[in-house]
Amino acid sequence: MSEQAHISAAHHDPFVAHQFDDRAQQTEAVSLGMWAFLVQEILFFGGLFTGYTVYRSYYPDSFIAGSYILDIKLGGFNTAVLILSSFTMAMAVYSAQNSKKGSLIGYLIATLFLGFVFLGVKVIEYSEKFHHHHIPGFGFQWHEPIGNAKNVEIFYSFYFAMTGMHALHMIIGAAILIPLIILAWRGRFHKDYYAPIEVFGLYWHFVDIVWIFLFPLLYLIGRHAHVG
Amino acid sequence: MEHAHAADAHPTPALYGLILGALLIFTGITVWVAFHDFGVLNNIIALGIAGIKTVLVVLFFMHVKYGSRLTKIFAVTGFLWLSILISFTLSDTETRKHLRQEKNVQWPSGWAPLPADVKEPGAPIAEHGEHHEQAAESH
Repeated sequence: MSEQAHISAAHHDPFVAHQFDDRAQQTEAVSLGMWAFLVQEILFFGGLFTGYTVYRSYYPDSFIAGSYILDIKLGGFNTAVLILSSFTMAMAVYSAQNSKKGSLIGYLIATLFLGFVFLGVKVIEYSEKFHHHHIPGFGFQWHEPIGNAKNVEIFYSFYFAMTGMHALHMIIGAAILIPLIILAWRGRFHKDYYAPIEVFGLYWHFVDIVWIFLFPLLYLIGRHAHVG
Repeated sequence: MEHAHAADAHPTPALYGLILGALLIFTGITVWVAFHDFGVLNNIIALGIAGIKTVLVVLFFMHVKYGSRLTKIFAVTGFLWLSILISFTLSDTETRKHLRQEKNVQWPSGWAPLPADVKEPGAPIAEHGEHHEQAAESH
C-alpha cells in the first residue's frame, strides 16, 4: 500500500485502484464487467423464453387457456410495483452520485420494500395455484372448458420456471440490498465512490426488464379469449 | 477519449420521473390492447411495447445512453445473441411442426408425437393421447 502510494505520489486518487489510469476508466470497467454478466443473464433467461415460444407455437389454445385464469390485477399491480422500484433504484444511484446520504438510504429502503411487496404478491398467486391444483407435476388438474390439460400443464411449467427464476433473482437482489443499506448508513457511498450502488442498479433494472416481458407473455395472451 | 465525456452528462430526477410515467403509461396501453382482439397484431403490439419499455430502461435507468461505445456494443450484443437463439431454434421447430401433428407418420422409437392442441372446448385429453398411441401402433 505504501509502495503504491509512493509510485503515484503526485496525483494519486484514493478512489482509483492502482490498475486503472483514471476514474473514468475505472467507472467504465466496472459497468462493462456488469454488462458482461448481464449479457449472460439475457441468454440464461433467453433459454426459457425460447422454450416458451416453441411450445406456445405448438399449443396456442392451451397457452391462452392457462393465461386466462392468471390474476391480471395482481400481475398488473406487480408490474407497476417493479417499475416503481426501478425508478427508486435509479434515484438511489442519483443520490449516491450527488453524495446525498439521507435520500440514498431512503431510496434503497423504498426499493427493498417494493421488492418485498412484489414477492408477497407472488406468494399469494402461487398459493392460489396450489389450492387449485395448478402445480405441474404434482397432481395437476384442469377443469376449465378450454385447453388440453396436458398442454396447459406445459404452460404452467413455463409459468413457474420463468416467474420462479425471476423471483429467485428478486430474492438475491433483496439479499444484496440489505448490506448495501447498512454500508450506505455508515456513509461508505458518495460522489467519489458509488460503484456498488451503480452495479446493483444495473442488476435490479435487468430483473425489471425480464418482468416487462413476462407480464404480457404470461398474463395477457388469454385476455380476449371467450370462455363459455 | 471516448469515456471522458461519460461522467459529464447524467440524467436528472425530472427525466427519471418522465421515464417512470412513460413506463406506466405503456403498461396501461399493453393491458388495454390485450382485452381487444386484433388477431396476430396482439402479439406484435405486446412485444413491441415491451421492447420500447426495455429500450427506455436500458438507455436511461441503466445509463447506456451516457455510457461508452463499448458498453453500448455489450448491451446490443446480448439482445443480438438472444435473437439468434430464438430465430435459429424456431427455424428448426417451426419447419417440423406439421410433422408432429400429422397422424400417419412412422415415428422412430422414442419419438412418439405429442398430442396436438385441442381446438374444441371440453375435448377429453386421455382419449386424445390414446388416439395417437393407437395410430402409432397400427403401423
